[in-house]
Formats: sequence, C-alpha cells, structure tokens
Amino acid sequence: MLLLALAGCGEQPTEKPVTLLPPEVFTWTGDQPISFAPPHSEWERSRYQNGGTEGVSFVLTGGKGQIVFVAERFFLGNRDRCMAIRELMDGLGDFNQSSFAEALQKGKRFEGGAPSAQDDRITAGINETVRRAMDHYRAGDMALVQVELDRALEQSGEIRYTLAETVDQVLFTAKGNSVYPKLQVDPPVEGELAGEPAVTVNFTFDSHGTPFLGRRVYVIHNNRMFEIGFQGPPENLPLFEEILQSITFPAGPCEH
Amino acid sequence: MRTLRARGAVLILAVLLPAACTPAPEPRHPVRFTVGLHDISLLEPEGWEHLDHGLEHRFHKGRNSISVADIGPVTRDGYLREMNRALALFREERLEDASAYISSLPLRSVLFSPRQWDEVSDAWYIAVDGGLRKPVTTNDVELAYRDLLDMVASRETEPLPILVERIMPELYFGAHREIAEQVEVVINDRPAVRLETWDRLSHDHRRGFLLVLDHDNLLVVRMELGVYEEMKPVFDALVASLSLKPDQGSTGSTS
Repeated sequence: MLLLALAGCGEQPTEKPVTLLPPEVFTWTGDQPISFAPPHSEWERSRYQNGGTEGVSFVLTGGKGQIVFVAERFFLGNRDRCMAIRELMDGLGDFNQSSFAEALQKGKRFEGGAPSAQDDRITAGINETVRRAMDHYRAGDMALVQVELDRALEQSGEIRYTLAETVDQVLFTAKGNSVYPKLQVDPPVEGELAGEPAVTVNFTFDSHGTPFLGRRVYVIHNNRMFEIGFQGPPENLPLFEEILQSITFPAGPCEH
Repeated sequence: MRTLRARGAVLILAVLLPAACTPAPEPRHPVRFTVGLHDISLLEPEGWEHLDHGLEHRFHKGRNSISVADIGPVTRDGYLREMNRALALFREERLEDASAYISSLPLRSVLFSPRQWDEVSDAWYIAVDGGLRKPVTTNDVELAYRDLLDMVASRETEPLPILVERIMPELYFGAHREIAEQVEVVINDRPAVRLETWDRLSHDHRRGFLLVLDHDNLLVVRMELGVYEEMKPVFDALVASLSLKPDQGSTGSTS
C-alpha cells in the first residue's frame, strides 16, 4: 500500500518505453542491405514507392496519417552496374553471344544526368571499357574480356558520391511539398547516422486539425542514398529516434 | 460441508456424463490421389473444397486457396525420361505429338545455360521439326534424338536447393518478391525444401511453399491467393500430413 501511495505521488507519469521488433535486413534497388528494427504491428507495414524511392512504410492504425518510412533514394543506386558486371564475370562460360550482349548491356551506365561531375567523367570511361569487352568477346578472346570487366569494376569503384553534392536534388522543401497544410520547413541540419554523415530536415504541418512534426533524414552508405522519414505528433518521435538508432548497413555484394 | 461437497460432486457428474455419452469424433482418414507422377496421401483441410485439375489439385475455402501441383521434370533423368517418351511417339509416327511433347517441357533454362542450350538446340530442332517442316529423313531425326539424349545425359543435376533458387523466380515471383527463409527437409526419403517468400520491399504478404523432388519431377505445394495468417495453420497441417508412395526407381535411362 505504501509503495502504491508513493508511486501515486510522482509528479510526472513515467514515459511508455518504446518497443521495436527484432531487426530485419532489407535489400532494395542498389543491392546495399540496410538493417533496422521495425515498429510493432500496430504500425501497419506496406511497400513504400514514392517519387524515386523504394522501401517500406509503417502507418499507425487509427493514427490520422502518422507514418514512419525507411527507403532507398534509387537515383544513385540504380546508376551502379557493379552487380551486373559481377554476374557477367561469374557466368562468363555460360553465355552465348546474344545472352552475353544482353548481359553486357546491363553493365553499361546511363550517360547524361549524372549526379556528380566525377560520375559524368568516369561513366564515359566505364562504358568504353564495356564496349571493348564486347569486341574481345566477338573475337573469342575471353582472357581480354576478363581484363576489361575487371577494369570496369575498378573504374566503377572510383566513383564516390557525397551528400553535399547530391542531397539537394531530393531534399524535402516547402516548395516541393505545397500539399501539406500550414507547412513550415526548417533549414537542413548536418549530423550523423549509422556512422555516416547525414542531413536532417525538420518541419511542421497541420494534419486534419492536429499539429504534426515531420522529419526526413538522408544518408549515403556505399554510394547508395537512404531516406528515413517521420510524420506524427511529438509523442511518437522517440519511436522514430529508436528506429534511427537501430539502423546499420551490413556488407553488400559490391563495396565501394 | 458434506452436503456442499455432495452437491458439488453431483454437479460435476451432471457436467461430465453428457460429455462421456457423446460419441468421440471419427478419426480423420487421409485421402489418396495422384497429381502428375506423384501418388499422394494427405489429410484434407476440414471444410475446404478439394478441386481436381489433373496436374494440379486445389484446396479452396472462401478467399483462401492452397494448391498441390506437378510442375514437371527438373533433373537429368526426368528430362531423359520425357525425351524418350517423345522418341517413342516419333517412332509410332505420331510426329506432331512428339513435337508438341518436347516443346511443352517446362523449365529448360533451369537445366541448361544459354551456351549449353546453343549446343543442344540444333539437335532439338531437328528432332522436333523432323518430318514436319524440314525435308529430313527418318534416320536424321533418329540421330537428332540420339544427340539430344546424349547431351542431356551429360548434364549433372544440381542439388535441390540450387534448383529451387532458379525455379522460384522463374515460376513464382519476379523482381518484387524474394525468399524469406528456406529449410531442407525430407519427406518419405525424398529431398524437399520448405520455404516462405515475401514482398521484397516490405517483408509482408508471406506465402508458404513445399517443393519435393519425387520421380525426378517437382511436386509443389503452395499458398495461392488468400490471407497468410488464415492459410498458415491449414498449410502447416496439410504439409505435416503429406505422404508419398515409395519410389519405384527412376525411368530416366536412354533407350
């Protein structure tokens, strides 16, 4: 009784601890895995594909639009052709001419629209190397094909994206999100996530008469950009922060 | 106190007696049926409709559906068996039947890489088209079938888990799904793989599969349309009750 009475005298109710599910490893566009602990089943999960992203969202049941999402911004990841070149190298003896040409085409990078000057410069070189590999294949010189594919991988590994040169293309801004009622966007803040440099944008808006906080966190790991987002009332921000804390990047098949 | 105890005992007896008099439910008996080459026995899910579509049987209730299907040969010996059948049709002068039989064999890419397929395909097309579209002699076609059988006979069959890695994306999902978990099991001495797939992006919408290598063909039990949570216990019970008739030996020799 005494204990109960003492407990009742506390000035602040103890905050409900955040509980998350065990971590799961997701692999989306760019073959770079991301691991994090998802929220419990009250937050209904579904595919998240929204304007250049691929990932998973969690919407709180009855939460009037409260959402957490973790996604890859694939404009960087889908430029990389490391996996396509590796598959070529692994199955070199299994191709015929037409299937080799088809697989080699997948090893070429998009020219034009590169997100950095370095990418623009190196992409041209990689595609030239891949073209030479095709010439050697037609000539039946598999040793030289191997040499060119090795070179293409090496060149590909020289490309390094930084947040500073790429994040502006996808950053959450008031101008790009005018559908949010009463939207106020703070300037981006630099920080760190999972040991990598990160940029965070905080904002507020009105969701069906309820003031909501919003947050977007952008991070690049292994040349792949990820965006982690939250929209909801302040009391659910700790859950989002716990999810952020749980993020790690397991080694992918192509390390840059 | 005694009165209360006596009354309690009467009450317990009153509750227990009717239950004791109710006949115990009949034990359920497995049903036996054939799907393709597989002679199967299993406990049908109670209250589910059992539909026989020949190469596929389907258990169906409301929005949920579980299928049991023979998806064809997946081993060297399985292919040899089927090609020998086509050769037998050709020898009976059923040329179109032989052609259709070979052309309808599924999963060729599981067994042959594109380069191997190039080597096989010349023999294949002479055998398939022999006597139909090309002016070739019966002897040419016989020789083409021989070449084909020799090439297939030289192929090694990969272990079931590797075959499963190739078969699943080709037949059951494209880029939007992946294998969530996979475990090797044995069913009546047959190698089998039990696995679940899920949506690649969200890790939800799970689907259960059992793949059993039996008579060189693959038997696939899988959750089709429906709600995973509702199908899961039914699927588990069905798979647990599944039994296959003992193997009579492979028929995959060249003739």
